[in-house]
Amino acid sequence: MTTLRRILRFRVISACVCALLSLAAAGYAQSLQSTLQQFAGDAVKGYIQPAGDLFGANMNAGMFHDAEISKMGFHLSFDLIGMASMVGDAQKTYTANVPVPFNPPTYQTATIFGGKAGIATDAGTGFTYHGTVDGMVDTKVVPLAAPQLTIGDVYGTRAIIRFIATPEVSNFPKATLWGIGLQHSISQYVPAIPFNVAAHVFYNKFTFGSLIDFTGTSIGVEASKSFSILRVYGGLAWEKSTMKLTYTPDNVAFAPVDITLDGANNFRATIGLGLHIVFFSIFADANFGSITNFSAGIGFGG
Amino acid sequence: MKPRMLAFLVVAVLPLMAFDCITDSFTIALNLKPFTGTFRINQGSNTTYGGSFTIKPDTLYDAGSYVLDGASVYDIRVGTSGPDLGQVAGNIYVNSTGGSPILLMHYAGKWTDFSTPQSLLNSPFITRNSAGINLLIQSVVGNQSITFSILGTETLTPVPVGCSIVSTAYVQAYGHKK
Repeated sequence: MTTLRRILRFRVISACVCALLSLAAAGYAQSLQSTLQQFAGDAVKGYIQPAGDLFGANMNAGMFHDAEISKMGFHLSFDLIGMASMVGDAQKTYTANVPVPFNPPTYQTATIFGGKAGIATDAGTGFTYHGTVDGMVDTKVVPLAAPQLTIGDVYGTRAIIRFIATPEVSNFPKATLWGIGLQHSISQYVPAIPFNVAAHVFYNKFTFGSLIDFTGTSIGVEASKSFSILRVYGGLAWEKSTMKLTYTPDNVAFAPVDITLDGANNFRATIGLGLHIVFFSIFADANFGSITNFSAGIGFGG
Repeated sequence: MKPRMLAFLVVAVLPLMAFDCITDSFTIALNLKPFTGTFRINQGSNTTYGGSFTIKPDTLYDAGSYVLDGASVYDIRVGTSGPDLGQVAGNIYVNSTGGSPILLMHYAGKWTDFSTPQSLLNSPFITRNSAGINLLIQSVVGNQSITFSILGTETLTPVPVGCSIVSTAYVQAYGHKK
């Protein structure tokens, strides 16, 4: 079988896998929408912020695992990337306001990843006020997966493309993930460097129906060096992610919600390891910033 | 390793990851629309006033979507509206369908003290009765019509037009979606 046919066949299988993931995720989006509709705009920020932080960190992960880019040549590879951000204790609770004149004026309650909602007790009367919703997702990890195509090499530059879309099915909203970026060889200008160096810029977007819109932007530098089939790679990147929420609360007294939250992760350091055997590769990396994040993948091509 | 085998492994492993982790029937706290009523004080030489209003709890939230497991009162406020009537005092009662009125709260002070509605949480001019609070809660959970009634006095006459007492009870119900 030719290399191109192998890549295309792997791409079809991987697209099916990602479609299944997106459908599952879209189903959870329906439960999520029902839950979020209990909140007014100000109250939902604390509840959903950790989801934006962790998902945003996932969006900006896994786009490179190699910094070796030829000046001119043919490169085509297809990867299936999995990302995961860790849910720590800090992501499970947030400080919410109670109605005036409750004393004390704030209390701790569950985020989307937390347990039972908190209960505030007024010091003077013993009256109680409950957090809006219990935590919805009991998990140590927030995952994401994406297929990724890398094409190059033209003047030391490669294009990186991600895309997966699932149609609206019954009550499950349409889900779309797409990303595009460029990776450019720095080594071509400084051939004396004993390892490969490149820089990247990457943008991606993930939407669930009309409820949630995630965007991620990453700009950074990375390096890699191969030792036979083993490849060591790492990088530093500035990044930004946003989560836009749009919904109409169930309570007609609350105004329609249209808010944008910034992800917590603005910088990451990446260190990774890969195995590259002819046209097959497997790789994994750890990413450290405000959010600890991991990515891993399998790839075909070269 | 063949791509098909890899894809199969990925699909097989994924259900073991974090996807089967949505909490079953989590509790939702609903802030009901306030139980609010305006008790008008009749114009003239009377120094007493009274009145009542009735509310069915399921008109204050989307009752078709939720099953309630409990409720709590998180504030009750009393305010005056209109020209100064001197000293004002009164009792607010609650009763559910077929029941006898039970004292919910007592208020007393200068009319102007209540120009900004006083909160049961921190006002020295209001005292509550736990039995009345409990009846209010039970009526919300049981979706029984609740009647708020008032008996009160003021000291300055004649009472001009436009004077009233406004009372508002804030209740939070909790349960889960049907």
